[in-house]
Amino acid sequence: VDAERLYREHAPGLFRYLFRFCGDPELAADAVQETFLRLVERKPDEDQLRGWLFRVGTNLVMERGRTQRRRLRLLEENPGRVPYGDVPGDPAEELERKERQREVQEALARLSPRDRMALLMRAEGFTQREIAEAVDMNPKGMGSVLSRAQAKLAAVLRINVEVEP
Amino acid sequence: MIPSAGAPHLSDDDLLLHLEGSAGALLPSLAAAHLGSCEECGRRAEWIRRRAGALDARLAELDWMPPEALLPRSFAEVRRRQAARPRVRPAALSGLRRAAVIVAVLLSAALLVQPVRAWVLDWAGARWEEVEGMLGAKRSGGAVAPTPPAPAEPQQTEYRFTPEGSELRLEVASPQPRGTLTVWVTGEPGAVLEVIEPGGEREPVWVLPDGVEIRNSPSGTGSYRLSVPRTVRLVRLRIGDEPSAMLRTSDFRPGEQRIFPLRERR
Repeated sequence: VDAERLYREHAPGLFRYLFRFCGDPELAADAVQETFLRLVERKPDEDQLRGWLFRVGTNLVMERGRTQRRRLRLLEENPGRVPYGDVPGDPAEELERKERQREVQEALARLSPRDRMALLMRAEGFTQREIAEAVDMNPKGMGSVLSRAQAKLAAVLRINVEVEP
Repeated sequence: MIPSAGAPHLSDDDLLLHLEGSAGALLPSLAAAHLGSCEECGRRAEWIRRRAGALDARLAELDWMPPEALLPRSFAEVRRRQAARPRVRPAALSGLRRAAVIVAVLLSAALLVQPVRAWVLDWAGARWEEVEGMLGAKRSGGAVAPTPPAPAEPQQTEYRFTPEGSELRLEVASPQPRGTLTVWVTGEPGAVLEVIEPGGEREPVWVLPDGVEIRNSPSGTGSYRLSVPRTVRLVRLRIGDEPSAMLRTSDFRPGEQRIFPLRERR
């Protein structure tokens, strides 16, 4: 396994996915590193290493979910502070942006971990077959799972799509 | 599945597979041909595509944190973390194995005649004390294996940012019993804060437009190293409630580092 190459290629995408999945940047970053450590230590015998990385990373953030609450409390205590170098913009815009982010996070949290994982892996470009392998289910039912998860998220976020006849 | 006369439309599964470009239950060419001729399926496919696009746009709103802000840039950092891991001690496992053997012997002893049974029970009692010692040492963290575990290396995280002005503020929330704060004036263009935390510790760092704030715990033991570019003329340094110290970078010799113990009051 060329772990260094895999790290360069997949660490940013895995971080983005895990951050969306759990909402905690530190937890996501920690899980990315831990995932690659496990890759080096366990040398998984898998064809789909990218899927393996995402599956292991998801399990890690789910195991360590307590950190998420710590981060949220921290942000609530310091509403005027933006961590890690983001220059604060217009306060009204900033508030709206945070409100929209919170809305998406809450909508995602309403999905079951499996549905959230499927939906977010799909957003990272995984095929239904790859997602089915990662969540350990029959590929035949994956389309329905994705469809339901998308419908639920769209309903919570009040996304109405119109197509002209 | 090719749509039959009774169910002439593509399923959601087939539409999703078609949209992702995978060969699903239907051959891609058949699905494409059907979509070309069936207005309703064409509309549904477009609706699914637009809904997925709208969802992706909302999900992208969560991506405010660039990965490079938190992820080590090189894999060497991950390797360093690997070296810091405590090693598994095989002796504890052999202790459990021994315990299993003793239990098996005790169960068999019930079938033996009295003198032999007494001897077996004595033997098992002595062995059990050995096993208890091994497992007890493991529970209390004592070194049982012939080689002691490798000392835990601190985790390191780097935060990079570009100061906006010629002043840079560095604030540490509290003094602490151990750890240092090092200021290093370099020729590099950006400022870098290196956080060196012993295993398990994690202290929040807030990067502000004009500097950094470390929310360390008074009982923490982490150390911090700030590399400052020459373009910054003044570093304002404050630890807890102590008065600020002002450092002029022009007073630093090239490559000079100044170390401030976090426990000392200035």
